[in-house]
Amino acid sequence: MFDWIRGGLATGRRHRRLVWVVYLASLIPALLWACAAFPILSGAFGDRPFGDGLLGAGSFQVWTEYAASDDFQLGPLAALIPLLLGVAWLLQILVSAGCMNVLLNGDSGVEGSFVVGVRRFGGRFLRSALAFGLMLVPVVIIIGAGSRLGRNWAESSGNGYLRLGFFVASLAVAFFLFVLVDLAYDLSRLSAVAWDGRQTFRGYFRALMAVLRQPRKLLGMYLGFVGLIASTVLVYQLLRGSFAAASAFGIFFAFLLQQLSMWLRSYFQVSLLAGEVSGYRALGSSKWCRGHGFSESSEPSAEIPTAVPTSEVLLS
Amino acid sequence: MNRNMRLFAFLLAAVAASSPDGALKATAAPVVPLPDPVYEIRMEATYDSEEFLIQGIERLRWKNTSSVPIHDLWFHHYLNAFANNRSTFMQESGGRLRGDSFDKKRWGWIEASSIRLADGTDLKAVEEFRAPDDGNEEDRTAVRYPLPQPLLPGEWIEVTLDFESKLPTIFARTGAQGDYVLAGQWFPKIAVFEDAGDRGRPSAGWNCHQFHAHSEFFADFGSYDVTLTLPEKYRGKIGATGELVESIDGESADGEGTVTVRFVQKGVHDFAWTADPKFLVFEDQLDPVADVPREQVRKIAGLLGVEESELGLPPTRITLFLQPHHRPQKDSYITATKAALRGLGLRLAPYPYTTITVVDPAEGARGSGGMEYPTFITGGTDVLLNLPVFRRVPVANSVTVHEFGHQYFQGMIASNEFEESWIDEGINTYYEMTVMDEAFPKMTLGGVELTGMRRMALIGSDPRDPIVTPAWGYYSAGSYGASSYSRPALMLGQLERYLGPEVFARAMRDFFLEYRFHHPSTEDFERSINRSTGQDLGWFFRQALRSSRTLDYSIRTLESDKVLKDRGVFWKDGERLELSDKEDQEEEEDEASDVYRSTVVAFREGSFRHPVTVEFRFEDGEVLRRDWDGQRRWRRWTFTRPSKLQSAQVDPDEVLQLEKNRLNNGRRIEGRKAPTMKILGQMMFWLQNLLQATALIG
Repeated sequence: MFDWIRGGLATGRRHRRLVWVVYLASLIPALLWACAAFPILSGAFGDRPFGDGLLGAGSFQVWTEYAASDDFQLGPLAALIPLLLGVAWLLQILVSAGCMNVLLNGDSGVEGSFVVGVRRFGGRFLRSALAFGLMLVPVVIIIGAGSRLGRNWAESSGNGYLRLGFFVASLAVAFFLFVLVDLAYDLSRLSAVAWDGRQTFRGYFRALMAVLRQPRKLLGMYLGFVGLIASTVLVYQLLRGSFAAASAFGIFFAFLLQQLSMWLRSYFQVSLLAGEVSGYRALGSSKWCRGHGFSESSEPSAEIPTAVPTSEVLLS
Repeated sequence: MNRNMRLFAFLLAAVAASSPDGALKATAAPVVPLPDPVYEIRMEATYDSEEFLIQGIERLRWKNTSSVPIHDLWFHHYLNAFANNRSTFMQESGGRLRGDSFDKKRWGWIEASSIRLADGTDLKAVEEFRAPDDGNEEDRTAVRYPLPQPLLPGEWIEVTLDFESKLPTIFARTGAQGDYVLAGQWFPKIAVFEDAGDRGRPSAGWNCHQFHAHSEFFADFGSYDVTLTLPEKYRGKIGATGELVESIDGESADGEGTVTVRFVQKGVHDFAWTADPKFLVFEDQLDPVADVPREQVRKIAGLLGVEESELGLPPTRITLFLQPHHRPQKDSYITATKAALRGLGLRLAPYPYTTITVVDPAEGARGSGGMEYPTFITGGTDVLLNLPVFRRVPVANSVTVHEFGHQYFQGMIASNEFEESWIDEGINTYYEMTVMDEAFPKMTLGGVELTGMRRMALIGSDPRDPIVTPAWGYYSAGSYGASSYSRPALMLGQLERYLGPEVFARAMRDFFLEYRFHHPSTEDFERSINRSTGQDLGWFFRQALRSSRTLDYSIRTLESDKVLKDRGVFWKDGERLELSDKEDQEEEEDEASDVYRSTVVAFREGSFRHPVTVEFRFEDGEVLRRDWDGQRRWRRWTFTRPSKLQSAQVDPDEVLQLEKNRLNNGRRIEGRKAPTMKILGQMMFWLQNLLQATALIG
């Protein structure tokens, strides 16, 4: 597990261009949104001394006053955020197609390029996302029903600890199930890229079975990367809380810190994918996304995966 | 007792003493006389925990304290609000209140099977249910019994009521859930007979409203002596209004073990009780020496302009009935209760009863939480607050402080909650905020103070109703909430800033001492504050309490330009003088002098008129302030000074707590990008994180 994490991080370091792509995929839409929001916020706070409170500990109060006032014009832009998230999700699916192609086939030559990956696998990945989305539905239902039952049970028994237990357990179970279905999602897509498979829907469920057979190491690796991603946000918060950011320099420094944190997050994201490549190989580089006619002894498609220039560690 | 007599009695009782070093002594607390009872109730009741049924006998002695003969008796049968879906309460609430839903599998009701006078006359036959507020014939929460003979002023009447009460599943402050019981409004409760002139009443009569979804209660002060018999599983786990004076084990007619407890309390206007075999019971006490910091006493004495030795507090026993799953929150309940005992006791007057019972409702019985009865309050917490990460969330503490505050505002200032809910909820919310600010640290997140929540209810919507509105007359539940809690609390905060903290604190204390154990109205409050402050604040109260006017002042125009040099023909000392441009002074800069003319226009955006201060800041650091009476729609100021104007600000000290929009209060000549850039940077960062999170599933 730690080998996969170390290997993933090393691969991520080598593929900085992928990191930049993932980073820009979130930066550009956020930047566009911020550009649209700037004149609105500037109109509200620019020439009003009340806005100065945003520079100190009273920023919550200023913001709540603004949000409740008639001057609050951010409504339409705020309503755009769910749409933006949907678009970002579709974009990330395509980015994943490019990233996985590069990570599996190397970034040398046309076949291993990011763009080819997007073109060749983008559509298949969207179908795979459908299977993933479908699997999320029962997960949500199970969690919701479990929590409700637990709550009712706790309330009828009058035992609040039961409810607390159910609350914490539902979060843990929800996260655990999510990780399983997400791992299967990524592994099935890696299989589609590795073997040029087209049956991504079927492949998803096969990958899920494979994950369920050997979950420990994969889960450990996944949680390791999620921990790294969470720690970047946490470290940012700790650093951010240590200075006031009331001056132009302070604000600029805080912005740099934010972007560094986001870049690191993107790096861990790419490293996670690379770690999953190792996991996929450890599971035997199966052809989950090929039809019934395939045999385990089939040769991989010409471009994969014997000469994958990932890391020695990844192959260990 | 008339008002002067009451004040005199208070002063006599306020024999405060201090040791030579100034440390407070327990004996320094004044003995507060409790009010003469308008009625005495002796009650015996038995609770059947299988059927959730209470069978009781109420022996009531009631006095006609008015100046007119009385021809009937009126009672509240509050539990009938939950008898069916046609009651006024159910129609108004739709069976939902405070996030809780009514359980239609168990209706609650109350019925008096007989109501006998001392001579044996049973008034049951002449029982009439009345609906004075809405004429709803299906509502049986107000009941009238005509008397065979009028009751003359000063006379007492004795009646004995046999009654049966079925408790609903916990909802709207009362009921039973499993073994847990919170019995509130569970017995036939005599209404209030008001004399002509009481609370502005034109003629004498009963004040007996139906039970409404958004109203609480109104009652006179009396003495209670209540004996309760419960199954033995409740032994040691029964709490109630007043002092527990007796607990006896026994046996029911069918041989089941029982426990009988007797509670006694004078000078209160209601009686509630609770029981749960699962309760953990803790006893504590407010120690007037150890629990009351000298610094707090000194500060409040300074505020009130009294000697520290006058502010002695008596010891008060605190009994906490805690659910086992909230065990880690025991200290939190006790600490909050002590903070409230201190905060209100020092500011207004010592808590006059010897005991306060704090009840932690059972899991799933939140409908009984956050409620107050005399010497008895229910809290509101959540098992999640057991977790260390949530410990600093002060929600549960503020509920405890708020409910304790009701011991003062409605407990002692027994206002009519049906008609003027702001007097208890609004004034109490003000004191809750004061005590919370004083006793607990502000909640912060990432260095940002999470304050100003009370203003959200005010600024989030247009006020649709005057604060003084009958509880059933508000436009919506939201309007009732904002007008009863946040708006009046903010109004008092505004008054405090307008009058100054000392003047305000003294006026509020005077009001409390004047009307303690009485039923003041809004007019009484206004009169008392005017008298104490020596000001006629009618203009303020009319707008703040009796209108839905919006308060909002803004700076609309702000200009500051160099004054042009004198050009043209002038007459000086009888001579005509023409000042004209020289060729080398044709540049526009040369046209200007070194003096700036600055113009500021402030605007009254709302219809609420209030004096305001406007502050002007100049580039050379000078700060000027001007007062404006705020009457006209706008006011212009023009300054000709050697320095350019930097900014202008209406209400720089944030006196106007009721103001709808604070953003427009000030303007600057030169815009400033830093606040926008900072908030935008933060928003962008969190948006990026959200967008990046899609990569995990993308």
